Amino acid sequence: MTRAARQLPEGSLPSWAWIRPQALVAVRSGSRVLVQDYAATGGVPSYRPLGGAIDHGELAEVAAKREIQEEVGAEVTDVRLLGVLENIYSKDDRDWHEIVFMFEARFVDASLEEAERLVGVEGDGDRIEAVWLDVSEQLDAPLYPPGLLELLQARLAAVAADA
Amino acid sequence: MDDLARSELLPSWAGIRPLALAVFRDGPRILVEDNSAQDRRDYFYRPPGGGVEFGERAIDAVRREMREEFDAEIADVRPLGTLENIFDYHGRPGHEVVFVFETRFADRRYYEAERIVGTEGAGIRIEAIWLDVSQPLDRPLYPNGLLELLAESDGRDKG
Repeated sequence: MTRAARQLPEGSLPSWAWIRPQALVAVRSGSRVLVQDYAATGGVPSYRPLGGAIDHGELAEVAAKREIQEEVGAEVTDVRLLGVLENIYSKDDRDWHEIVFMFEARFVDASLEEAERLVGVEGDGDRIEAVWLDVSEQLDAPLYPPGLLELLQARLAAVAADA
Repeated sequence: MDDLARSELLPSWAGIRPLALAVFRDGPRILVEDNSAQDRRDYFYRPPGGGVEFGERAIDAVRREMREEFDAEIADVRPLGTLENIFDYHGRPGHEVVFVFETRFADRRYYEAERIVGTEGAGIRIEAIWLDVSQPLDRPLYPNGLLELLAESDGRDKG
């Protein structure tokens, strides 16, 4: 048994049942990416794209579009899988294991790219504040999940090479 | 375990099973397990591998599974891609997230064997055979999308 597995809630479920498959979406406009600004809602300063859990029976891309609709009430297009990240970490005194289908996309409504801050709600009712983060510049707080920044930098380089 | 998905007490993502599978290639042949000993109704082929445990990386899961199943060490493990396998098995909905790795046996003798016999978790005997996937197959090969993934990988290698 791994160290992480000992931190799981008691019960008869096999350990894998606590692995969460997630669909996250880096909504992108040039080198700027829409991310949740956790400091703005009283959390530890950090950024993470919008998105959430994939439902049983649901394709990751479908989940990605649904989550953006639910969280900020907007439609996305040009959805592209950047990669799949395995995110294993500890937070709030417990261990987490996510499998993250990391997508990029853009808003159908381009006027949202001009907004300084987008406000929405998470599935559990928590307030979301999202900002455009320029990933070509030095970041002032960590961007999660680990590996996302590298995926975005590779994507930006590929876009630049195509242009 | 599929009942997890239908329980009201559990979150909607519960029951999605992460798997790590190993593709061993030998020319047009890949190593597959044959489920006919466990299931007399629904025959299929699938590359060997198994479930990812909580806290475990898929690449570590595939190495562990090959030790457990075939007592084999593997080399040159590289990720080919991740497949979403959503299916119905005897009327039960199934959903797997499948990490597919290409690898090779460190010991060449595995490639000469007609059948590789091993054991699955609960001591169930498993048999793996070399299947020529360039020919029409006599039963389905799972997970869906596997052959396309292999073809994409070949395309990349040829540049």
